[in-house]
Amino acid sequence: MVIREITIIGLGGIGSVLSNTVSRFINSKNIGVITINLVDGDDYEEKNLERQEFTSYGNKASVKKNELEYKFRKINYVDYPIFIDERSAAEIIKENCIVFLAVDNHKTRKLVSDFVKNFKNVVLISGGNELTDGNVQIYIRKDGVDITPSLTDYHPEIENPKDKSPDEMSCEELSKSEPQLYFTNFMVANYMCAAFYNIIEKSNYNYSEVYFDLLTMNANSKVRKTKNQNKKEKGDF
Amino acid sequence: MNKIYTEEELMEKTVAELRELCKGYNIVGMSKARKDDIIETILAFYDETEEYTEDDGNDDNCSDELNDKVPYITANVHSILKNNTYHSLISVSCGAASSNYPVVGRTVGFVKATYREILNVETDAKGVVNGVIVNDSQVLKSGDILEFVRQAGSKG
Repeated sequence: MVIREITIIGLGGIGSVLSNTVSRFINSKNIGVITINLVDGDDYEEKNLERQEFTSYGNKASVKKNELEYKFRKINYVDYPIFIDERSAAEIIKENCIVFLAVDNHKTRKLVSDFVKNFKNVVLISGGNELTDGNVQIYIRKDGVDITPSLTDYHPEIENPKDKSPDEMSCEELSKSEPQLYFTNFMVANYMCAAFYNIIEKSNYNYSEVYFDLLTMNANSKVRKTKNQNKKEKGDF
Repeated sequence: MNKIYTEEELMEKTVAELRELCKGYNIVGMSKARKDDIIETILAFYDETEEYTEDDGNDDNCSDELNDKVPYITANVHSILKNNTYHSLISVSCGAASSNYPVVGRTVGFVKATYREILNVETDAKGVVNGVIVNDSQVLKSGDILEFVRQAGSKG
């Protein structure tokens, strides 16, 4: 698969690690000029220190851009210091790109998942976690056909999200956060990288989701049918 | 050992007799089912057994004599005699947890209720058999892979 543009949405516990590892991999390859878009409207603050990778305070997208462009000279970084919405998604997410979605709410997952369904070719790798377990979903669309299920197909909690996106939250809501563990964020980031590697290096489009559990040290990948394949199997296609 | 009946023979039986027959075949979840549904489930169970008989019809390890006897043996005995081509264990998973359970002939709903705590299955989790979303009434066949979809992590 030929990639020219990568978009990383969300630069918190998962995204701040992931942006570094993906950049390192891309930078080591001789695959021409790559643009990496970094998207996050939140600021890095002292309270984030225990599980987020930043070297200075400020907007996460802008700080991360400065850090990464100093380390990885072959990559063109663009920072978007905003929370993604429908309008900015149309501006930032392009056809034929790879999107890493590392946000902390299902509302944004649904927004991005629904948005990229209109593309002919796209790869969307989305990660999320609770305290000690997590999952990574892989949505691949090729030549206008779903190769793997979208983020919402098997997940009603994403199809009908009950949470809010960051731009709908009050300052008080934004400042509150559930406890998270750096190790869990780190593992999600690693599985997102594994999905990325499988797709671009091995052309392996089989897996649609992987779950892991830090406490049992188990991981389990899933192969699932797309919505259309499901309809065909049931005979109502 | 359980005899296999034709559809006509099954139709002639009472609901109580059919339920008794299901017990012999290890088919569960039929205690409140209607007669038509019970018969349909039994016939599906027969089809599955027959499918394995046909698949291995030319197998050197399986004599004609054995094939003649297949309708009169249980699925488990069949499994042993036919070189274990009939898998009595089904892979069941939820999230990162997974294991193999002897649930051939059981419904997805039964498996969910039985192994819910072990696999940490949420009550409204969807059942997925061989990658396809199914209802709780779906009866599991040999070789099926069952997953209960765990909710996605919300944080990041």
